[in-house]
Amino acid sequence: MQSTLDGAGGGAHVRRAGGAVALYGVLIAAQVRSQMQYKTSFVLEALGSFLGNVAEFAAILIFFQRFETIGGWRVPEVALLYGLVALPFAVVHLFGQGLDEFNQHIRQGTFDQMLVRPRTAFLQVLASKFQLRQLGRLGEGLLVLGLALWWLDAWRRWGASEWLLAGWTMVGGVLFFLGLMVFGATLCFWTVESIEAINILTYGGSEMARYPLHIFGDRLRRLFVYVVPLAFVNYVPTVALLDRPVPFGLPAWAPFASPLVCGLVLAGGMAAWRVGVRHYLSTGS
Amino acid sequence: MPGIGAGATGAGGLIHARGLVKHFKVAPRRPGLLGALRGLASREAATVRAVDGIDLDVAAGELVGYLGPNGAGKSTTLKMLTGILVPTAGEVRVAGHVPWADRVAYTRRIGVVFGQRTNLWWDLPTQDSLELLRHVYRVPADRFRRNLRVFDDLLELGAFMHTPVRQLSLGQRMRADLAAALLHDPDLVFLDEPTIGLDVVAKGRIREFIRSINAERGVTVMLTTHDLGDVEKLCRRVVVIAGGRLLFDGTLEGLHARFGHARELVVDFDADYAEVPLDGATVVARDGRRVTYRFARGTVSASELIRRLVDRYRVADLTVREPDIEAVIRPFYEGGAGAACAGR
Repeated sequence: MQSTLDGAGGGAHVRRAGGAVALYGVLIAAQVRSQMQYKTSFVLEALGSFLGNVAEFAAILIFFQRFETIGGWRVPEVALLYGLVALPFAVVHLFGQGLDEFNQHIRQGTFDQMLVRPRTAFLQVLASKFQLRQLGRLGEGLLVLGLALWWLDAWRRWGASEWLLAGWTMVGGVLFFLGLMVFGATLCFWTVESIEAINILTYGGSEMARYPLHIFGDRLRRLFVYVVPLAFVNYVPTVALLDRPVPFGLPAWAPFASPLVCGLVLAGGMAAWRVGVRHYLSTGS
Repeated sequence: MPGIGAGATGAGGLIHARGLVKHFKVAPRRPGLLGALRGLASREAATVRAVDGIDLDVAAGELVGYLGPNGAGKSTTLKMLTGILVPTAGEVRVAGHVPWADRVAYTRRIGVVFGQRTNLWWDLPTQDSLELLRHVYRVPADRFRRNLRVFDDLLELGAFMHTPVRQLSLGQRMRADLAAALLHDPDLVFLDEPTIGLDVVAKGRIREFIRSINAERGVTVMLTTHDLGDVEKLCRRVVVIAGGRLLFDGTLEGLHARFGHARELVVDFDADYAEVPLDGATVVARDGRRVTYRFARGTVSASELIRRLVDRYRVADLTVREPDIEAVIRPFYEGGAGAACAGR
């Protein structure tokens, strides 16, 4: 008596993915509509978020008033580094906010509700929260990246390969931060206090990644290359974009490996998520 | 025991559970992330037998009241039947599915309402929430509109269709939630405390709706409640559990016959009496001049009892109280628990 569920052949996967994207869009659009009812509030909050983030970039510029360089890097170079981490971070916070607040779904029992609906629980979590004000953060990322490209005169000096590498790298950044947030959400299956722990990596990590990684000690460097591969989000590719030698004895292809390495982070996160759901189904808490 | 296929549950069998067991390991909670990690590693856990071997068969079209005191295992059973929890042992088939294993295909065929929390989007108007669920369940637009019209007639949703869910009264929210659980034409709905916290009028409306979807749309209903009124108005069949075990499965009349359905007479005396005995009733509580008697429904009528009372004493005021479910079945499970303790 099963109706349309069992799609035939390989098209089923594509159709399912398409259905997931469509549902995500519908769920997000409804939240956007409701938030747009309070336009002033949305504009003020987005502006606040934008200015708050711009202030952080301004702090770095002020630093450069006193010192020519940070670890041998000048303003435009650090700005490129900054933009390449800030933008993916902002994109993930715009579209993956639901993961950031997953502990509430566990605490309030709303995750149970997602489990009794005929759609992927992960998709429902992802689409459970969307805040337009995160656009402020996105705006700041775009601004800083734009400034960096302008200061570096990228429009004249970059060829197709540089543009491709920059874009490709940002895909990696999105995968990386999404992966971290999935890990953070997954921990909520065991403890609802875990969000703070993972925020040390997401917020803390994204702040550290605004500075050239070689200014930090050996231990941190190894951590961010081999354990939590934050170095691949921006530092390693940026080095290549700036025509500097590949650092830390990494192979020559390392700057191009961002989406692959970061994809592993996301894959690990999704595997952990599935273990977490199974744990939840057996304990209910 | 060999597995039983979906078709083997007998004609019209919708829920089929055999030897359903759910045990939880409860480790002592430690604060903080490190504490939680340490908790994972340690083995010093106590086992809680939330559900301890339940057999249940529900045929299509039934309206079953699932009752029991707090902590009896009602929610745990519901969670296993809806696929939120994997049983520790036993066999479950609902509508031909193993709930937790075929979650996506299975949940298409059921509706679930948890009375304590909403299934709707808190910040969105009711209308938008229902519309989102249409997409979640992939309900064709015309069928959605048709169903919504029917539910609007029964539940009068129109008045608050454009109000954000967070601003709805409890009764309105429950009406919206019931509509939400039925928009995709499920074969079976699980209603967990659908009348909790509602006033008499709201309760009546909810009960009428539940009765109607069961009688007219043929939706099978499994209902948990603490309200005996719900059961008396709605359920032909009553299943009682306590301590994770089945205590009773039968008709409401059977339940009364078995438990004796005692009523209570609360009396405020107009004078101080040392003793206030009353033929046909026993004193169960005394607080100053207020005395609560209990009497069995079959043996003596309330009017006869009141006549005997005013013949002997000076009475200021009195009320006859229908006991709640807890009170009705308490002797049952207290007996069971007592027996278990004695056996230890």
